Amino acid sequence: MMTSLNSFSKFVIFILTMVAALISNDTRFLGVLALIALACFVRAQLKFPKWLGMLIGLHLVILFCLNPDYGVALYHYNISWIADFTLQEALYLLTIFLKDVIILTFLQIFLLTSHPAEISASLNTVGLPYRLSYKIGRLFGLRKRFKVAYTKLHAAAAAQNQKFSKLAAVRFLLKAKHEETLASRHFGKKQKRTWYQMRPFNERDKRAILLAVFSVIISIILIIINGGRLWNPFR
Amino acid sequence: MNTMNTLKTPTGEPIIIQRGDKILITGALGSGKTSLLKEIAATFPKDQFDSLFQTLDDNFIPGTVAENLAFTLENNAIPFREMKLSVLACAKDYHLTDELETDISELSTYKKQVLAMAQILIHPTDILVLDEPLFLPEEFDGTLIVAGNFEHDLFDCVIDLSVEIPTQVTPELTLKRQINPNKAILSVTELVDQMSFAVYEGEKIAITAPAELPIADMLAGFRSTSGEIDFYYEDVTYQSLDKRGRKIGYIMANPDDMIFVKRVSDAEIPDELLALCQLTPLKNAQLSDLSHRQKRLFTTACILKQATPIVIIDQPEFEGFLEILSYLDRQGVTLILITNQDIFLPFMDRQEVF
Repeated sequence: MMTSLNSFSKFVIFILTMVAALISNDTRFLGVLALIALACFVRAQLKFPKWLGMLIGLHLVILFCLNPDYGVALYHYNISWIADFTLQEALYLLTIFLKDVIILTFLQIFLLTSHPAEISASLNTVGLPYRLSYKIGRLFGLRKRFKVAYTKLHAAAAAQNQKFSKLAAVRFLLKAKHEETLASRHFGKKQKRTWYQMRPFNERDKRAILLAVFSVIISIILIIINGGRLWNPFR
Repeated sequence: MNTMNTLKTPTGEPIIIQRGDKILITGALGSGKTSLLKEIAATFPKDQFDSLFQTLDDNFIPGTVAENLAFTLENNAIPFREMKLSVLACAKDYHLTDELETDISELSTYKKQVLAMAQILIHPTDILVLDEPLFLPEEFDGTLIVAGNFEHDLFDCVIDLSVEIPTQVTPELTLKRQINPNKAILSVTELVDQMSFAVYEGEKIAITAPAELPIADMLAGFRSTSGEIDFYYEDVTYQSLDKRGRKIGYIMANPDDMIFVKRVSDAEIPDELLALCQLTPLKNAQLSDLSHRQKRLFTTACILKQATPIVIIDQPEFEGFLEILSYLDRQGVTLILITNQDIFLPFMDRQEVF
């Protein structure tokens, strides 16, 4: 459902949900938001890469090692759960875990379902200079470009009964004369630039962004209801 | 514009370019056409001219054909709607409509050559600097500076960089022409619709087909075909490239598609072949410093090194061709040219036109 959106909408949704996730420490709200995020993620037929999962795990381990009693201090309550590991610390870590999941999921939806040119266009639309936006967008096409070039030369080498290793390919393909190409097609001539890959903004985009704005509003309302950013079930 | 500068022709006359001039730069292999073109381009103000690079892939940005067509428009901040219409119209003019969403890397070399020109002509400035274009722009009023082989009549001024008048050293072409008319070395059935032919052992054959059909790629196994290709009596249609590469040596139209070494010496080409392909002085050169034609001669040497029974040259260049032809003739190699230039026909045994 999110895949059909304009890339810029996906980017705005990512920013808004990130804000919502960072403002609130209400585990219930974060849980719901994380579920929504994962639902979108699954619908877009994406896979959560292992290394990102490990990164989240590492984040939690570091937080725990730095201060295993932070949860107790935070919630002013102490129930030991497993040995010294308190229920409060578990809740605190769960909250952080959910935040990570929300942010990274929406970020991935934006990056993985957008065309590199759309990413550039989105970044430019939110005010980043277009030269920089273009370069950032290009980074996301790097892997595909390498694969294409490697496949082509690998086939040519095979037909000549020669070897062409991946390592040789990396060294060989690094020498791109891209800047000259850009300049010869007037890249950088004007202060502004339009984007061919910018899908037009439609009703669906508006609705999706409104929902994301709504999540920020909820997280602010929760501050008032909970009397602070924290939701404390132990009080 | 009246560009006065320090540039001079080989005869010492200053090169003066006035608005609307049509100038052609010609000259032998490695005579410095591209360098002169670059020097001339450097005298023009930045972003006030368009240039076509000789190295085909240098003309493109990664992405689809549509994105490549739109790129100049984007940079000139043409509004979205106008840009879309312009891209569609341009694609129609240059028969690229079906390829609009095709990734540039999947495009055939011929279509790439067309696209490189279309990319410029979609929104041209007043000055075009074109290094070996596929064709000359029609109805263009601005200044045109071209390097390549075109009819001199079409230009106001021709700068010939050849140091001396080339003494037409047509090598003694006493070809053996050993053909075995009873043995078809390559039998091709329905490569594309209505295209079947046989090539006999030792023949030199020119195949002329619509340029947009990548038939050389198909024969060599770089693109799939719905038909059948037999090497003698062996069906090689689905044979892997390494096995097929031992039977068919394929010199591609775009040398950059088959160059994967850094230096000429890395390819370990025997001296005899280096000399044949005029590469002896370039033995230690980096391939990135070679001109398009020199790169083509390099890839030719790489393929000749393989000593395959069949050699296919896609869009051959006449530069150095006769020497290569007589070498192949001596070796009894079957030669297939994919070309629509008549200049090769006198040297061929036969032409197949589709």
